[in-house]
Amino acid sequence: MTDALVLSGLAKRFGTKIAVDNLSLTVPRGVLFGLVGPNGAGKTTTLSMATGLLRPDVGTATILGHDVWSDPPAAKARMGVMPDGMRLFDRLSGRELLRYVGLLRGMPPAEVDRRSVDLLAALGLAGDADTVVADYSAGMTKKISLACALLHAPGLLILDEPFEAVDPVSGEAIRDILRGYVRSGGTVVMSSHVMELVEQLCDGVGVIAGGRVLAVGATAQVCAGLPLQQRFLQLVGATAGPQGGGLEWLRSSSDSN
Amino acid sequence: MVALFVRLKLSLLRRGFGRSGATAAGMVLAYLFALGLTLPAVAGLIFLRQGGPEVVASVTVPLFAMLTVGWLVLPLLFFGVDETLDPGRFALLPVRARTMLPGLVVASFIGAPGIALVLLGVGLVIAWSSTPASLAMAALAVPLGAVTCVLLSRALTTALAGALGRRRARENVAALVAFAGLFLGIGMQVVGRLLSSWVAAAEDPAAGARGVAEFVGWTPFGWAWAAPGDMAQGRYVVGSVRLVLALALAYGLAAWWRWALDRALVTPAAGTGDAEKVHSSAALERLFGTSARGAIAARIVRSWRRDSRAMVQVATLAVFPLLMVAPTLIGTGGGRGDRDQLVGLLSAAPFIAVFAGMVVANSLVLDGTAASLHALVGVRGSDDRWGRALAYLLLVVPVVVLVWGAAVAVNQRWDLAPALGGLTAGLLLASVGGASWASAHFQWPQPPAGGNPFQRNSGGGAAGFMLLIANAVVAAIGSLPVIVLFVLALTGAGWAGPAAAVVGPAVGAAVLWAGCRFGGAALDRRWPEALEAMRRS
Repeated sequence: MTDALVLSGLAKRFGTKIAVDNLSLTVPRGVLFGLVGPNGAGKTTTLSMATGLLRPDVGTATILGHDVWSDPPAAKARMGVMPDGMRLFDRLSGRELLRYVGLLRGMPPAEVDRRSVDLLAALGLAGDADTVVADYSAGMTKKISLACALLHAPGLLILDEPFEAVDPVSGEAIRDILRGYVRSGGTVVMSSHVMELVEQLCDGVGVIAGGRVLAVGATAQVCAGLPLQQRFLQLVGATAGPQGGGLEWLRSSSDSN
Repeated sequence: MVALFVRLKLSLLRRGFGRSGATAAGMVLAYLFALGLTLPAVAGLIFLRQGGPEVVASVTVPLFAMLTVGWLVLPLLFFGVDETLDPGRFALLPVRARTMLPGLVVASFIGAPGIALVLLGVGLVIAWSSTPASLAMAALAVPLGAVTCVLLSRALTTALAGALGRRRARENVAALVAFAGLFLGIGMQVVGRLLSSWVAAAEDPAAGARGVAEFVGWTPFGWAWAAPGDMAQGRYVVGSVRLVLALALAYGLAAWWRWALDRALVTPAAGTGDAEKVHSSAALERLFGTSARGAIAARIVRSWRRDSRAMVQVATLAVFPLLMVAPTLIGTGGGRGDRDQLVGLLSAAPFIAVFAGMVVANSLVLDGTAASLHALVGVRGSDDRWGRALAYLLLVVPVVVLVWGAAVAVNQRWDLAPALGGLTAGLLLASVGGASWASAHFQWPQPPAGGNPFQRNSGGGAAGFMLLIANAVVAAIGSLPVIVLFVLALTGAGWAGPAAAVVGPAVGAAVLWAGCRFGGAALDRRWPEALEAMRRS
């Protein structure tokens, strides 16, 4: 069986800064995979290259057996993506945006409407279906963006920070949706900063820093008996808490100056 | 603070030039363009010095007053205020408007328009160097006038941008300002007409021109510019009064700007307000179908009414005929027959057709990174191009047909109807085709609809300039046959009219097809680069 996502030898350089450095990663089908790493580790850059939004300097990305850069239509039809740092067509209402995505993907209009109603209800957006997305809060924007990625029931979901700014109730709904989706054979690759969430939710974990993969495998295997938070700090070579001697000036109130 | 802002602005500018390829080339072109306009004007000012103070005054006072008005209006209308030093960005720092203000004023002079203003100012001072008194006054008043230009535009935009919290209100004000600017443009044309007819009516044209200069010199836009002339002619008291008035104006503007800035510093731009509810009708989908191409066209028409930026663009096209006819109507004032005077209206339809291309060319950057959806879904580039072209054709064609019909009917030139129709259709299709091709190659970051309505990143002007040129070249080549036929029809060749009516739409449609085909292929190739260009800020 082909793997859901295969990244091999990906590299990207912005000016003199190497964002992603010869990164290879394989995610098998049917797992919920978490990508973790410090700020600037290259998570978003990696996911952008995997989804066809950013051209890699070298390397390939393969979605369910289809190369993203040599056969884009086949690869793009098989994945649903929630990118980070991209705007939405925010002059449309949530309902109109979903319909737009569905029609762009060539889905039958009646099917688009049926799924839209389900998705809006599941994500708690039913009451705001006719509000323009420009007036959505940050969390609602994340949710409608997730709905856009789910609409065509893709084989692979690539989600950049899906839980950021989402309230706990919606967060629970999203977890349920993702777990159910994986149980039925789908694959999720998501990035996150919240270790507890990844440890609890994900079957597999990849730790990246400095544009390289430091560890990858089943969650328990990567954790090696430690909480993921501790293991992560160990891997990226940081120690918990402020290091000795730093920031003393912060402890006195600046009012005394 | 002044040095800090100047250094910041300079390094931003240097980075603009340091960028690769099209952006840097576009910036160089824009600066050459500005210099090409300014240097001859400066030379003219220096030459004017020979003519004596009366001539200098009657020429420079109206011109510089117009420049001042233009400084206020043009950025709002066309270029956007360069807000690389957006006061909102300093909101978190413990600074007061009083400390920032001088730096912001000085930094405004860095960049093409500011440099042009300084050069023109130097030219004006030289023009007034014939007597010591006028030179001394010019050395005071000309910099004052230049600073007034900057204060005028900055105070207004800061006040408008800062005073509004709600998204929709902010957008509506942006639209309103653009329209006000448009009608101010008409107003200025009207005033220009009236003044020039006044000059022409006077027994001695030179005396008439002096009268105009004297009148303009007593308006707020002319106080500073007229003061040196008073000194040169020995009217020391009048000159001093004008200088005091100009100083008071600058002081008042600075105070107003400071007040607005202080407000902007404590009022973050992103406000909350009532959520906007919308319902879409199915009519658009019935018209365009449910293909990807149709969905894109329907989406653009739908969001057009909800996006003040796009609405202003298309509405400007509709108002355009008025711009062309208003001065002729006013300027007539009896005399020759009205019908001859409305010939200007005949050119309105072709002009709208050409400008429609520019609107289509902006469509992708108005979407900005939201267009990443098209890349993610894998929409074919040609579908993206066709969708945009069809949407704007739906919006523009009724306007063009109406204006074409009105122009022919009002002028009773039924003989020209086929030729004019062919020319208009040919220009419309060719310029939309040119835009579909060119806009696949040039992108820049455009401020989102909900942001500061006057903001525009400095890199945008350069890429936009390149896009404009590429679009114009393709449109010109594509409409050359029909232009030739139209000229032949005008000169009386009977067969040329019907020929234009056939050739115009046919060649235009071919250009549109090619533009969408090749523009689409380019977009398929360079989606990642296009998104990157729209993201960079």
